[in-house]
Amino acid sequence: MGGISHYVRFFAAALFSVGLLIGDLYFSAFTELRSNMSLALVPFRAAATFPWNAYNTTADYLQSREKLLAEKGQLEQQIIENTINLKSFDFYLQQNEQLRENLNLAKRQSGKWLVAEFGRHVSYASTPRVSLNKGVEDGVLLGMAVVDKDGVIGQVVRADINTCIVSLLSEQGQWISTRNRRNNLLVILRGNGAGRLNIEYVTNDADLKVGDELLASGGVYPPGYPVAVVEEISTGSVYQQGLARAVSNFSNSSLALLYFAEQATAEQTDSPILNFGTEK
Amino acid sequence: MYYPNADSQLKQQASVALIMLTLFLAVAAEFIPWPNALLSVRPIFPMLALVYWAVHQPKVVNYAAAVVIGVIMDIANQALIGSYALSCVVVVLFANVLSNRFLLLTGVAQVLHVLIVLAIGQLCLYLLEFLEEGSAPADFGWRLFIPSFSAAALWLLLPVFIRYLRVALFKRQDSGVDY
Repeated sequence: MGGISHYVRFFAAALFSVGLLIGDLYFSAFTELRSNMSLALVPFRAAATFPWNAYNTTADYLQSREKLLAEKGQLEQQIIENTINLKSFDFYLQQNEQLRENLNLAKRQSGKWLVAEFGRHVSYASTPRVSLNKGVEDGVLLGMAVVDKDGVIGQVVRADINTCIVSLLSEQGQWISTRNRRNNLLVILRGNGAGRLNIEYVTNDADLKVGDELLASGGVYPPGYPVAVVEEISTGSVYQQGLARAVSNFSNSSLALLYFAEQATAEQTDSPILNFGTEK
Repeated sequence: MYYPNADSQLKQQASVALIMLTLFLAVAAEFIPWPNALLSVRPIFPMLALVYWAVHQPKVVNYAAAVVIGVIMDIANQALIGSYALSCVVVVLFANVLSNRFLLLTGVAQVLHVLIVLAIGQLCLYLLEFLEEGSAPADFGWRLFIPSFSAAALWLLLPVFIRYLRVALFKRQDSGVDY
């Protein structure tokens, strides 16, 4: 391999890669190409994760009877507690709807849920992201909100045939509108790329304290779902400056929920890529 | 100094199979879900495997292999197609440049060289992703290169692992050559 041909080969490979980059950025045909390639990788992915999945399945299968019985007891108790809570929740919901109707307010936004399992964590630039085992085939759309049992995790930013990638709330450039549980104050949060959320546009005279719980105010996120807790707050020239910590702790969860805001669902078309960012 | 030769067809076939197997395992390691605590230190196995074979078998593992592995990684990570590919091509370039003198270096020197090559690959990847995102993250720093450190730390164990694979799977005599 001569010196010239070596560098020629390098430039050819580099040019080809740059061509792929440009193609993926500017040509919609690459969306289909990506889907097809992803589909082609399914057997490879299955083969690669087979030992891991086999280990997990075997470990689950070999769990002791006592452990399963204890787990069953816990789950039964949890179902009873949840049923009780749900019954009182239904009452409050009806009451709330009635009040809103009386006050001539718009109906509360409702949505649909899709259960997904966490896959592996991926790094995108410096930012950790997480993958889920549901994709376009299951009805996943770009921009969908993802939550776990503790709170909002983030949004779907890439969707494949059977997997999707979720960017976390703390990722730089992520914005979310929330309400303070204590006084319904509107608080805008922005991911700072360093694991926390910056508190934005809250005037100095607004009532916001450390420890306040912030809930999603709607839009693509399920309204009223926990988002973050205020950790630091201080007065600035016009707006307060502070940090909040996201409450979701997906490292301890195995399941996530994808949220379809119904309005958005009706307005989305088949192509998730084309519709990204068209939140209504 | 060792120059890899391909005089025996059987030997070459076994080597290619071994190379493909190790590259497959390296990519497979990317698919396995890692615990959160270990995520930031997860070595970049595919790039490490590419550097290893680009140093030891530059005629077999070349830029085409780098592009293929890179595109697989792009699809697997749902990254921009071509970003990993370009980074892998850059990594193979540096590995090829080093390949002639590499095996003359001491173990520690080899690890340091591998670290630099992998870090360049990661930097290339980050730059492309920052360009796509439009901004660099607030906490950009040396910590992002921990996967390169952890991968480089495995460098000296790789020959042992590959020798074991060769003997175990291909029933070949251990010639002491690390491929």
